[in-house]
Amino acid sequence: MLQGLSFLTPWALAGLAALPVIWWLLRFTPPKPQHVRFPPLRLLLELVPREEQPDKTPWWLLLLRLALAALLILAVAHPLLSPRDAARLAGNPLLIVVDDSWAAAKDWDTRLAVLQDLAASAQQAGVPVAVAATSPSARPGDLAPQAAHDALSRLTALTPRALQPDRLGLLERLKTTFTDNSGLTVVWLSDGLDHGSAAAFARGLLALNGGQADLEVISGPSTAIPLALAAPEIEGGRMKIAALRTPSSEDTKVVARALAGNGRSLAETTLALRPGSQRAEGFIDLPLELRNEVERVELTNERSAAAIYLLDDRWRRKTVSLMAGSTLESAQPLLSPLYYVSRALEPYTEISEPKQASDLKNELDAGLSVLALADIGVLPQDEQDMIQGWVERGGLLLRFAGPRMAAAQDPLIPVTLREGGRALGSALSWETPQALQPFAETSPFAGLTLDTAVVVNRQVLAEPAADLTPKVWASLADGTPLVTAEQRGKGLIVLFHVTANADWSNLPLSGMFVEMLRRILDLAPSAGSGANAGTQVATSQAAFTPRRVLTGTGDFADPSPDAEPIAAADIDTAKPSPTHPAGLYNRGGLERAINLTLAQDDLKPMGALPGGAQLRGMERAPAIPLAPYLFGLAAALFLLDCIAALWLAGSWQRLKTRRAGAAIVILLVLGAAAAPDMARAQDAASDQFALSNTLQTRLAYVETGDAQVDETSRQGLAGLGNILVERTSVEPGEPVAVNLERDEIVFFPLIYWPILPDAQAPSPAALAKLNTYIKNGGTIFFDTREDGADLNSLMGEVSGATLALRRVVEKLDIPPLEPVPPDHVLTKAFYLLQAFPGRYERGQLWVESGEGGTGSGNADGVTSVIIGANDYAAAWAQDTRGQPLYATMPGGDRQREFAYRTGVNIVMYALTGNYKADQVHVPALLERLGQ
Amino acid sequence: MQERAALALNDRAGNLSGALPALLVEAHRIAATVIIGVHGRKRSGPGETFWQYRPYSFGDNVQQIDWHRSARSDRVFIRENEWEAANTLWLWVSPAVAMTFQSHLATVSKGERARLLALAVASLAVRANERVSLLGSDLAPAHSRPALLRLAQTLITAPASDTLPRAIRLPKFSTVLMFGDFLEPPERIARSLGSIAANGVAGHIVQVCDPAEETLPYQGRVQFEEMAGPLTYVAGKTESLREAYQAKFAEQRARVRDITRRIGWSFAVHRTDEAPLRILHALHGLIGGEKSRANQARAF
Repeated sequence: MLQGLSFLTPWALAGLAALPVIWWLLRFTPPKPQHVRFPPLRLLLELVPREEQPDKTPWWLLLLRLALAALLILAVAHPLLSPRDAARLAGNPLLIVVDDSWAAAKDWDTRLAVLQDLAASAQQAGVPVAVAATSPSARPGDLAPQAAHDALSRLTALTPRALQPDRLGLLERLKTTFTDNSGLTVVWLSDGLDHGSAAAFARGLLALNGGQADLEVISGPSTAIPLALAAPEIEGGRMKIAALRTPSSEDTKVVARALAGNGRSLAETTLALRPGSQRAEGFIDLPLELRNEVERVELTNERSAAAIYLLDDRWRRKTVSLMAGSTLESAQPLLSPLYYVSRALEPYTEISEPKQASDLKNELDAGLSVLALADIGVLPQDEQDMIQGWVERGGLLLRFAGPRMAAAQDPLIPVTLREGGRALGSALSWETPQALQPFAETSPFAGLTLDTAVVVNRQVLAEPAADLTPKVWASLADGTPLVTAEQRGKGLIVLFHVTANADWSNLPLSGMFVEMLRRILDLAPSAGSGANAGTQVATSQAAFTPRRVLTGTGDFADPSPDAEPIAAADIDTAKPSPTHPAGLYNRGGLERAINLTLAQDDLKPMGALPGGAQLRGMERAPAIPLAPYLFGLAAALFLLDCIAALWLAGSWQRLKTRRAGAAIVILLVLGAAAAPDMARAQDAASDQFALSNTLQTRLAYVETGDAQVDETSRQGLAGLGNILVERTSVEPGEPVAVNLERDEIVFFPLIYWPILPDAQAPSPAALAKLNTYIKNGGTIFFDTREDGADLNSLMGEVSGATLALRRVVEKLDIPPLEPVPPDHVLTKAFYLLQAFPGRYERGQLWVESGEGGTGSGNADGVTSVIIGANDYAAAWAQDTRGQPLYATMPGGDRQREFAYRTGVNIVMYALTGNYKADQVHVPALLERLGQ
Repeated sequence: MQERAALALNDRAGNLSGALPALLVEAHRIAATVIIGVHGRKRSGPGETFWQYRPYSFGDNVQQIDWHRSARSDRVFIRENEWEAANTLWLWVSPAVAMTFQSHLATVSKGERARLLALAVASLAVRANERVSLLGSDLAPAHSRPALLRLAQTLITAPASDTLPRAIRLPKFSTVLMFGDFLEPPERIARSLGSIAANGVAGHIVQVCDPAEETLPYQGRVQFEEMAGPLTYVAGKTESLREAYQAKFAEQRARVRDITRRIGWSFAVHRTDEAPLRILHALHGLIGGEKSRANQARAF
C-alpha cells in the first residue's frame, strides 16, 4: 500500500517537522493580550479574580487540531496512490516512445492518460525518463533521460501531428543516445499502424543499450485505428469521396460531409464499408456554384488530420480570358462576339478581357484556366508562341469560328479547316439549316439533353482526316463536326465551328450552350496551376506561405514558427513535413492546400513483433490523487473543531436556548433560497431592476427565447465587457437580458438584438417602447448572425434572418440606412477601423445615413440602429478563463482582435455620441483661441 | 516653545473663563486678612480709595487729618479711606504620571484637562483681582496677567513628582483648589488634605477622571500596566471584572468624598469626556459662595 504512495511536492512534507511547534503553540500560548496602561491598576489588583480562565486546551482538542494540521500538510504534498508499475520500473531508466502521428489523434486523451500514468509510476520508482516522439520534427527534442517530473510536463505538451511517423529516423537518433550497456526499459505507445517499419523499429528498440533493453509495446485494438479519407476526385460533375480503413470484418457506415468555409455543411453522403473491404466510395452531387464553396471534405466523428481533405483553388477557382478579333461593339452588346460566352461563364468563373498582349502574358503566366478566342484567325507570332506554350503546360484554349477564321487560320486549332466555310439554308444554297445530332457516348457532352431548336446556318468545315473522328465532340445532323478538340501537350484546344454570337447559329442563345461550356470548364485546369512550372521563378516572393495548418486532430491552427513557405514550383509535389505542415498556403490571391493524403498501403495494421517485445493493450493504471480526500477530511475536522470550541466556551448552551429562534431563521433562509420567486413582489422587482441597471452602466441583449443564442449573447457581452474594462475607461456591469414585452429598456445605452430566422415582430406595446427608446437616444444593435456566404444569398435570395429583421423593424421608426461610410464616427470612436468583422467578416454594417455619423438620428447624432450580420456576440464570447468560445470564420487572431475592436467602438460610440466627430473642429477652435 | 504653549493654554483658559462673570470671593470670610486688596468693604479702614471725611475726635491719628478739607472750614476733618482686602486662591494640579492617561474614549488626557481648568479658575480670580498662586511652587500670590502667564508656565513645566502635596502652612483664610485623580489610598489622601486644612483653609477637590477609569470598557484578554511602575495585571476576561471594578471605583470615590466632608471641603467630579465649562460653572458657584454647602454636596 505504502509502496504505491508518492508525493508530487514532497518538500511540503517538511511542514510535518513543524507539528511539535504547532503543538507547543496550541498548548502554551494564550492569545496575545491587549496592552493597556491603566492608572487605577491598584483598584484592579485589589479585586480578587473571580474567574480563572482555563489556559490548558483539553488533550483531545489538541489532538484534533494536530491531526488537522498534519492532514493539511499531507494534502499540500499532493500524494498519489498508484497500485502498480512503480516496482516494475525500478532500477533502469525508462524510455517512452510515442507515435504522435495522425492515427493517434482520435484517442489522444486516452494515450496521454496512459503516458501520464507511466510517468507518474516512473516518478515513484525514481528512475529518469526519456521521451521520444516518432513524428519527424524540424527541431528534434533532447532524447537524454531526465527527471520524471520534467518528462511528465514534456509528455503533457505533446500533441498529435498531421504527419506520418518517421520511426526509423528516430531509431537512428536513439541508437546514438542509448549506447551504454546498462539496462533500459522501453515503452512504445504505438498508433497501431505498420507504416512499413513496425517490426524493424521494435527490433531496433530491443537492440538499444547493447541489447539490454526491455520493450513493452502498448497498442489499442486494430479496430480502433481511425479511418482515412482518400483524395476526392471529380467524376462526371460529381465529387467522388472514398474512405479507407484497415482490413476489418466489420460492417461500418461513415458519413462524409462537404463543408463550406464558414463551417456550414453543404452536403453529405454515407459511405458503407462492407465486411472485408477496405474502401468505400460515395458521391457528393452539388451544383457547380455550391461545389465552388466547398472548402473541405471530412469524415464525421473521425478526429484526425487524415479524415480531412482541404480543397483549394484547384477545386473551384477557374479563370477565363476572353479575346475577340473584331472591335467590341459596345453600343450593341448583343452583337458583341463574346457576349453570350461571357454571360454563360460568368456565374462559375472569373472573367477578364485582356486589352493588350502584355495583359495576356501576365494572365497566362499566372496560370489562366481557359482562354476563349472568338473569331480570331491568325494570332501574331509572339502571342501564338506564348499561347502554345501555355496550352502545352495544361491550358485550355477555347476557340470560336467566324469570318476571320474562315479566311485564315493559325496552327492552334484542333483540326485542319477548309478554306471558306459553309453556309446552310442561305438563298443560294440547297441545304437547310442543320440541327445537332445526339452527343456520342465518348464525348464530354455525353448525357446533355439535346435542344432540338438549335440550328446552324453557317460553319467552318473540318478537312476530312483519318484522326478526325476521335476529335469530334459534337456534330451536326449531317455528320459534319460542330465541336472539335485536340490534346496538345497537357492542354486542350477546343474549337466551336460556329461563332460565339448568334450570327451563324442560334446555339449561343440556347441553354445547351451554357451546359456545353460548363462541361468544357470542368476539363479546364484550375487557376494558377497551368503555368506554374517553368515560367515562375521560385523566389520567396513567389512562394506559398502557410496560412492555416492542420493539427493531428484535424483542427485548424495558426502556423508554428517551423512552418516555412513553399516555393511555387514545388507546391504541386509538396508532401506534409515538419517544415511544410498540412494546411492552407497562400500566394497572393491563390490558395493551395497540402493534404495528408493517404493511400491504401498506409493503412496496414502493425504486423508481428519480434519475440522480445511484450504487447499490452491501452488500459490505464491510474494513480489516484489523495489530496482531495485529505482536504475533505481536514474540512470535516475543522468543523468538528468549531463545534468543540463552541462547546468549550459554553456557547453551546446558549445556542440551545436560542435553538427555536435559530431554527426559524434557518427555515426562513432556506425557504427564501428555495423559492425566490414567491418572495418577489412585482413592484419591488422592477425597482430592483431599475436600480441595478442605473447604478451601473450595463449592456443589454434582447432575449430571443433560444437558450443557446441567449447564452451566447450573454457570454459575448460579458466578454466585450472584459475587453472594455481592460482597454477603456468604460466599466460595464454584468450584461442584462431584457424581455421587450416585460422589462423597461430605457436604462441601457446599447441593446444587442440577435435576430433569429423565426423572429416575429414585437407586440404594439413593445414597439411603442422601442420607438420611445430610439427617440430618446438609445441605440439598438441588430445582428442577423449569418455569414455573407449563406446558401440563400448564393442563390440570390434573401436569408431567413434578413426576412425576420424586416418583420421586426417594419413598424419601427427608423430613418434611411447606409453602410458605414469611411468617415463615420464608428470608424474612429476608439480604434481606427475600416472593417467591422465579427465571427464572420463579410457582413456589412449599416447605420443611419447622415453626414459623418451626425445624421438625423437623435439629439446626440448617434444612429438609433446599427445593423450587422457577423454574429458579433459569438466573436466576443469568452469562457471564464477569458478564452474565446467560438472559432472565427475564416479565422485567426487578427479577426478576433478586430471583432473586439468593433465592439469597443460600438459601445464607445453609443456612450460618447458624436464626440469624436467634434474632434475635427479642434484645430479650428485652437486657432480661434490663438493657440 | 514652552512659553508659547503656556500662552496658548492661558488664552484657552481666558476664553473659557471669559464666559463667566468675574469671580468674587466672599468678602466676609476674609475680613480679617491683612493683605490689602481692592474689594471695598463698605466701611472705613485701611485702603487707598477715599471713603469719607469725618470730624476729628479725640484719639484720632493726627496724620489722618486732611488739611485741604480742614482749611475750607473751621473744623478739623479726618480723611478716611475705604477698607479694602483681597483673598488668595491656591491652586494645585496633580503632577502625577497617571494624569497623562488618556483612553480611547476621551479627547484629552486628565492632566491637560486639569491644567486647563486650573488656569481658567485662575483667570477668573485674577479678573476679580484675587491673588492666585500655585500650591507647592515658589510663585508669590499675585493678581496680574503676567502672573497668570507665569502660573501657566509653571503648570506646564512642572515635573512629574509625588502625587499629593506635602504638608504646607498656608495663610489663614486662603482657598485651596485641587485638581487630581485622587486614586491614591484614601489614608494618604486624608493625611495630605488634613495637614493643609489644619488652620482653617477652605478647599475644593475636583476629581478629574477618564471615562475608561470609571467604566473599564475593555474586552477580552487585556494586560493592565502601571503608569509609572512595574506592576502589571493580566485579565483573561476583562468584561467579567467590570461590575466588581466599577463598585470598587465608586467605593474609592465615596471614601475621598468622605474625607473632604470631614475637613469641610467640597468635592466635585469631572470626567474628561465632559465639557470643561460645566465644571467651571460649578466651581464658580462654589468659590463665589453663591450656593450653600448643602447645595454643593447635592450638585455633585
